[in-house]
Amino acid sequence: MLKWPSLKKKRDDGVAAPGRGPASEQIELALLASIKRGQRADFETLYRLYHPRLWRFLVHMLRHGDLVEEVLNDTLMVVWQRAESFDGRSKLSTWIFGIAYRKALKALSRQDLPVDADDIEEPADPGPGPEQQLGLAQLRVRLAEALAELSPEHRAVVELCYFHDMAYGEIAEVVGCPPETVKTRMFYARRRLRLLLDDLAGAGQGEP
Amino acid sequence: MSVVVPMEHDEHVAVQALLPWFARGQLGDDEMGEVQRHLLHCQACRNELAAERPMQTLLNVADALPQGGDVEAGLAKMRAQMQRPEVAPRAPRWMPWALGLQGAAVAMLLGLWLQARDDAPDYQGLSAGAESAPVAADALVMFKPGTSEQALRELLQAQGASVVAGPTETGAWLLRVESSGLAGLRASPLVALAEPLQPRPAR
Repeated sequence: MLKWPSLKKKRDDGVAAPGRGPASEQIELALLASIKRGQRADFETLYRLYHPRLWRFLVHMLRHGDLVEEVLNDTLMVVWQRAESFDGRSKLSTWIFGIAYRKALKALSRQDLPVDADDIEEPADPGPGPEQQLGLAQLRVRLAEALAELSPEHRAVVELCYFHDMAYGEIAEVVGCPPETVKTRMFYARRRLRLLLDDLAGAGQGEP
Repeated sequence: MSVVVPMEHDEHVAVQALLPWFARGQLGDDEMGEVQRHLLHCQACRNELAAERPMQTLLNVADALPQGGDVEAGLAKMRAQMQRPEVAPRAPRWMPWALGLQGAAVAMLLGLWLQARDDAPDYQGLSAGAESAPVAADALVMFKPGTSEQALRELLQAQGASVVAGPTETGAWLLRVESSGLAGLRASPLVALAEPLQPRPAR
């Protein structure tokens, strides 16, 4: 019998994600105000706050380490150079993720990057779970294949919902499309992942 | 180009598209009610909702695929990029005029200030100059409205904390504080927020 952890379990892999409440937003806005005045130290603080979140987002969009770092720095360079253009109509995180999303799509359009599941590294301590029954490496290869079948636009919606806890309206702002399109992308992306889930559950039940 | 599903014509599709946000309580009251009403009479969509947790687990496994990025290495590259003159913050169009008008006044005031000041501070806060050492504050703290100066002073002394800079525009203070002191600040009823500034533990 497969046993699943809670939906609300801690998702970070050891990296302390910054809080995302109003207080956190206030801090980030204070940092941005200072960045507008050219304060590098404050920019570096904001860089450290956003690096883990953007890395996770971009690595699922791009799936290529070198490109992730390049796009991540290009994104935050825009924050440094064009902080003045943030008009406060959205959350700061929405603005920054929107920049990252557009930069990632542009990078993907420049390079036709295949997903090479064999290159994927295993973490040192994968922990218990259903993957043990299937073989962790095998499971991850199949996951990589399933995610690779999704378009970058669909992967972005999955990533922003499941790992960044964004509501669909905020995701629509990030990716620059109507909310209905976000729902549609989620429906198709979820259906693809659901097939894999059924497949894995069936394989798990077949194990002794 | 994405094809938009005609959601209004297929209630199951519409509901299943919303399930990830429904499971997180991120829908508005109307949509939350619609999904709840649909689930009452639809076993197929209830099964889909039950799949949300395994779906999250599945994606958590996928999330563990790539190793995390190296913040400091990325920042080092960023610093190198920022050394180039063409990547200075882009000023708004009115800025050259304003700077031109302000330049003389600022230079004069700076000169007067430097003449009068011979005791440079031995710390640098978040608003330190661009050429300064990295941030030397450990935490950013906001106190609850109405906190008196005396109560604030006693709390900082009790926790071994010292003010590096502040208040910021949003009323936050930058502090030097040990990690145990930071924990003490967080537990204080006078403190609205106490966040470490650095990825490393507070000193």
